[in-house]
Amino acid sequence: MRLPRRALVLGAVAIVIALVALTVWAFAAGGADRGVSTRQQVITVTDGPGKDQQVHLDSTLYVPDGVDAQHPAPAVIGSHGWGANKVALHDDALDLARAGYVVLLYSARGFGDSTGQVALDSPDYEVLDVKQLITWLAGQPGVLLDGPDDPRVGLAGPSYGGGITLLTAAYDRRVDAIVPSITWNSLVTSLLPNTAAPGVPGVYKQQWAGIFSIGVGGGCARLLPTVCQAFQNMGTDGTADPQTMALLTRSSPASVISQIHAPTLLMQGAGDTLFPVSEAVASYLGILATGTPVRMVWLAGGHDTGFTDADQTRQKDMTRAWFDHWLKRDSGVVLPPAFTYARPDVGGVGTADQYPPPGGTTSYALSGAGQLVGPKQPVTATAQPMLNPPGGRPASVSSLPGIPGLVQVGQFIGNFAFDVPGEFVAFQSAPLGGDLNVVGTPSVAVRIVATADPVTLFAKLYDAAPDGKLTLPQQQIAPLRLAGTSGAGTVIQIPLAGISHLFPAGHSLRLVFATTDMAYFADRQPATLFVSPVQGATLGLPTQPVPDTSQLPIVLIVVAVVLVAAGAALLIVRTVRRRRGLAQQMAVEPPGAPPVDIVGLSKRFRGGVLAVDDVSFRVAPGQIVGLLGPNGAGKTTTLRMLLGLVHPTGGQVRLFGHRVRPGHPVLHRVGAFVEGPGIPPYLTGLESLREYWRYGGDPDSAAHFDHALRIAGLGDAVHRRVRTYSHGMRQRLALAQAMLGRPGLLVLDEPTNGLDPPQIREMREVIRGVAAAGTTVLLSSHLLGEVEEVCTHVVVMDRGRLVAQGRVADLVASTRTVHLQVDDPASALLMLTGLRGIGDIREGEGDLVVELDSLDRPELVRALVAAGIGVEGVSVRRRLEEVFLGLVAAPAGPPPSVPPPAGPPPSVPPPAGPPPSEHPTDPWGRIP
Amino acid sequence: MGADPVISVELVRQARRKRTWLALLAVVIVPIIIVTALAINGPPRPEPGEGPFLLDVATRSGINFALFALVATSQFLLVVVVALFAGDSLPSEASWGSLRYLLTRPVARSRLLTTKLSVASMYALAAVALVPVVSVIVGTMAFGWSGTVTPLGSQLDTGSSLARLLAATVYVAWDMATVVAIAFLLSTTTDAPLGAVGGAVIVIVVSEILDAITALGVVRYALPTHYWLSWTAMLEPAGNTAEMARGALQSAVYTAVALGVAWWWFGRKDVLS
Repeated sequence: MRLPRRALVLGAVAIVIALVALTVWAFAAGGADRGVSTRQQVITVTDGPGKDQQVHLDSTLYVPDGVDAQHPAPAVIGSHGWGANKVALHDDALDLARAGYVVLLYSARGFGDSTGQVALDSPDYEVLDVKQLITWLAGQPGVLLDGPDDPRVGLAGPSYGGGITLLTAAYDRRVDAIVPSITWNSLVTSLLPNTAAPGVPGVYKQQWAGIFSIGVGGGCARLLPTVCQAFQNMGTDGTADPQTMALLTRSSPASVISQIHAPTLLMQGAGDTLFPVSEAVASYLGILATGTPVRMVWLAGGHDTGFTDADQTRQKDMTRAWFDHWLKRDSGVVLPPAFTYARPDVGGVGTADQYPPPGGTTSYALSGAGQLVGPKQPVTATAQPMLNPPGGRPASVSSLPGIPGLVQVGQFIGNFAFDVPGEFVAFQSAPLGGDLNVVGTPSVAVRIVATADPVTLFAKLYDAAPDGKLTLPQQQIAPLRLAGTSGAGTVIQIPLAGISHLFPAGHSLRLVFATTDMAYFADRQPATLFVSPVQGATLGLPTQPVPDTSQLPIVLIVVAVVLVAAGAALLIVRTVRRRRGLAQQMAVEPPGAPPVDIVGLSKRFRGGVLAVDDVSFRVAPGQIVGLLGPNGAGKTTTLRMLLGLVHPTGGQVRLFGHRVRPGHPVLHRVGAFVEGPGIPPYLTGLESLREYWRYGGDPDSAAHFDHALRIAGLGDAVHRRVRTYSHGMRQRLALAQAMLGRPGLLVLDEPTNGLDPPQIREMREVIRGVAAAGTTVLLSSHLLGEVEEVCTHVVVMDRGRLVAQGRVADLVASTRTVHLQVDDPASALLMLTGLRGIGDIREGEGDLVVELDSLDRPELVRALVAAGIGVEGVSVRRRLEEVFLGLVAAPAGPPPSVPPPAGPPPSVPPPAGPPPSEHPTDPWGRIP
Repeated sequence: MGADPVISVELVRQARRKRTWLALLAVVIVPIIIVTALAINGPPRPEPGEGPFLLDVATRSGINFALFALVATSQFLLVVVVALFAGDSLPSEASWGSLRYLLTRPVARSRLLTTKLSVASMYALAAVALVPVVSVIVGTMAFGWSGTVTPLGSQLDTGSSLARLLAATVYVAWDMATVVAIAFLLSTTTDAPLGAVGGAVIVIVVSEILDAITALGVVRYALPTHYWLSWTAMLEPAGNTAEMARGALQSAVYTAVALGVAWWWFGRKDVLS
C-alpha cells in the first residue's frame, strides 16, 4: 500500500488550514467584551465626630450589561490615592465591571469634585463616608445582597485608598473582602519610623510627608485644620506632639487590626520607601492572628518608581481572582500562597506558605576594624566614630522620593545611594563565595555611644560589587532615634529594612550606619556617635535557596554546537562521497568479472574466535557451487561476509567485480537466503514479498512477483498471515523472496533445511531451472546427497579453512576405491593380496572393496579374469560423502574411523585425515 | 534512488503492527480517564504546605486541563510510548530474523537507520501531539471553553493560551527527542526489543530520581530531564523562560550525541541475527 505523494501533500495542507482556522477563531472568540454602562451621581453623606457635617461625594457607578434586579452581582468600591480623584481608577473599574461586578468609584472628601476637607482617612470622617456608600449600594438595583442593607461588597484601593480600605473593614462588618495595596499599617511607623523602638516617634520622613502635605493643590485649604496643623508641626519639629500622635494613631489600622474579619489580600511594593514592606508585614501578622484569611504579595517598585507592566498585570489578575473567590464565592478560583514576592532580578516569583518564609540564616559578626567576619571569629570591639554635622547637612542619599522618572520602573535598586565621608561607619565582608539570596528582615545588634542624647542614625545594607560600586537593595534603610546614648551608651537590636535581593558571588555585604539621610528630618544638633560591635552579637540575614539560574557555560555551548555541526558535515560528506564513488563503480563494471571472487577472506570475532581463515575461491557464471563443511566450518560466516552483513577482518569479497560493502548497489543482483526465513509474522505472504522488494527502492515491475509466487507454491495461503504458516511454507516463501527480481547470483544457506523429500526435489528442480536460465548459485548444505545431485562444483571448508574445491565429478572421480562383485570372493581376495599396485583390500557387504594404488581398473579386471575369477560387477562408488569425510578432520572425541582416499585428490592441499583403521564403515560414516 | 518509497513502506510496515495502535490508544485514553476522575471528584484541594500546582487549576477550562495533562503525561507515559516507537523497530526485525534480509537490500545501512528513525519520530510526534489535542477536546466538553488561569492567579485569554499550549507541545516534543535518540541508540546494540525500550525508560527514570535529590547541586543541571518542565514558566507574566532555551539546547546536544553513536555503531556492527 503505497501512500501517493499527492494525498500526503493534500493531507498536510488540510491540517495546516484547520490549525490556522482554529487559531483565528480562538483569538476572535477571546476578544469579546462585555458592555458596561456608567452613571455619574453625587452621593450625599453625613460625617464628623458629631455626625453633623454634610459632604457631597462625586461618584461614578459602573454596571455591567445584564446585571439588574433579577440578576444581581456583587459590588466593589474603589478608593483612589492621595491627590487623585475617582477618574484615576477608571480602567481598573472597567475591567472589574466587565468581569461581572458592579463598581463604585468616588472622589474622597477633599479631593476632586467632592466637597469637604481631607481628614486623613479618619474613622470620624472618611470611614463614615464609605460606610454610607455601602448602604447606598445596598439600595441600588443589581447589587447582590447578603441581608437588608448588607450588600456583597469588596473594597480596594492603593495608598491613601488602601488605608481607607483597611480602616473601613475594621469598622464595618458588612465588608466581605478587601484588597489594600501599597498602604500603611501605622502612620506613626510610616512617617516617623524608629526601628529600634516602634511606636515611639522616630525620625520624620520629611521628603515624603512634605510631598503629601503640599500635594493636594490648594495647600492647606483642602486639609482639615487639625491635619494641616499636624503636618506643619511635624515639618517644623521633626517629631510629633501628643495631638499629632493621636491623630496619626487614629488614622492607622494598627490599633484596630484585630477587628478586621474580611479576607484580605495585601499588596506592597518592595522598593517603596514611603510605606515599606514592613507595613504590610505588620498588617499581615495582625490579621493572621485573628484567623481571617490573609495573603501578602510583594511587588517590585512602589511609590518611588511605579510598577512594571508584569506587576501591574499581576495586581489586576490577583485582585480579580481574590474577589472572584470571596465575593462571587467561586471556590474554583485558587488562592495564592501565603506569601508571594516578585523577583525581577532573578526572574519570576518566589512563594512561601508563611511569613517569614522558612529558610536559612547566614550570620556575620561585626569586627571593630570595619569588617564583617564569620560568627565564630574573634572580634575587636573598637568603636568607630561618625559625625552628625551641625544642621544635619550634607546628608547621605538613599532614595529620592517623589521625583518621577529619575529611577526607572523596575530598576528598583537605588544605585545612586551615597554616604558622606565621616558621617558613616561601615562594616564590609569578604567577597561572597556563592550567591546569597536574602528575603526578609535582617537584624543586627550594636553598641552606640554618642555625645548627644537622643540621637538619630540610619542603618542600611549595601551590595558592594568587586569594582567598588555600591547598590542599596530596593533603596531600603532603617531609621532609628535612640535614647540613652550618653555614658556607656546603649546596646540595641536593630531590625533592618525588609528586602528581597540576591547578592551575587564575588560581591560583598556592606553594613553601614550613617548619621544623616536626605529624605528624613535633619538632626540639627552636632554630635559624634561611636559604633562598636557587641561580643557575641551578629548580623543575621534570612536566606532562601538560590533560584536555579544556572548558565550552561558558553564554552560548553560553543563546543557542543561545533561538535554537532562537524559531525553532521562529516556524515554528509561521507555519504555524498560514497554515493558518488559507488555510482562511479557501478558504471565501470569490469567485463567478465566472476559473480563471486573471494580472496584471502578471514574473520576473527571479538573474543578471539577465528571463524574464517584465509579462504579463497571463485564462482564462474552459470555454476552451481555447493559450500560444504561440518558445523562450525565457517560456511555461514563466509556467506554473511559475502552479503555485507559481517565485516571481514582480512581479505576481500568481490561480487561481479565490485568490492562488497553493506548496502552496496551490486546487491541488486543478488538474492539471499541465510539461516532460515526471517519474515515478520503479522504480514501476509504477499505483503511480505512486496515490502521486501520495495525496501530496495526498485519499481514493482522489476520484481517478477509471479515467478516468485510460483516458486513459493503457496497458493491461496499467500493471503494469510505468516504466523499461520508451517516452517516449510515459510522456508519456501523465503526462498521465493530470494528470487525476486531474477537476481544474477543466488546465495542460499541450507535451503532445503526442514523441507520434506518431495519439497526438496522441487527445490532441486527450481535451482536447476534458474541455473539453466543463467543464474549463478552458491549454496551451502550438509546434505551431501543433495549437493551431489544439484551442484556442479563444490568447495569444502573445515574449521574455517578451505580444504578442497573443484568439480563434483572430478572430486568424486578422484577416488581410487573400486567395489568388486565376484563369484568367488575368497579366491579373489587371495589373488589380489599378492598383486602389486594395490593398496588396501577388505570385504564389504557382498563385495570386495579394493583401494587401487598404481594399478588402474582395466588392469585389475584383466588380472581377475586371467586368474579365472568371474567378475560380475566393477563399480566406482562415487560417494561424495566418502570424499568429504575423508577430507575433513575428525572431530574431537572417539574418532569415527574413516579410510582416507588412496592418493591425494587433484587441486590443492593434501588432506589432514586420520590414520587408516581396520574398522569398516558404512556409506554414511557411522561407526558400527 | 528515491527516499520517499522506503519511508512510506516503513510507515505502513509499522502501521500494520498492533502495538502501534495500542500505544497511541493508551495516549488517548489517559487524558479521558483523568478528565473523568476530575469531573467526578471535583477540583482537588491543595495540600497545606504545598505551593500551587497546575493540577489545582486543571478544572478551570479545557485549555487549563490540556496544560495539566501535558505535564502529567510528559513525565512517564509519553516517555514509555516514545521509547516504544523508537527502541522497538530495529530489535523486532532482528528477533523475527528479517533484519538481515533488509540489510541485504542494496540500501546503505545508514539509509535504513534514517528510515527507521524518521518513521519512529513521526509516530512519536503523533503521540505527543495527541495529548493536547485530545485533552483540549475532552477538557472543553467537561469544563468549558475559556482562557486559562495560572496557579498564581494570572489570567490569559483563549488566544494566548492556545499559543502557549502549542509552544509547550513543541517543547515537550523536543524533550522527547532525547528519549527517541537514547532508545534508538540502545536499539542498535541489542536484539531484544524490550531491552532497548526498557533501557531508555530506565535511563529517564533514573535521571528524574537524581534530579529530585537537591543535594547533588550543580550536577543536576546536566541531567537530561532537568529542564523538562521549564515550559510552565511561560504561563506567568514574569516567568523565567531562559530555562526553556537551556533545556532545548541540552536536548539537542543529547539527541545529537546519542544518534551519532548509534550511526557509528550500527555501521560497524556484524549482523548475526
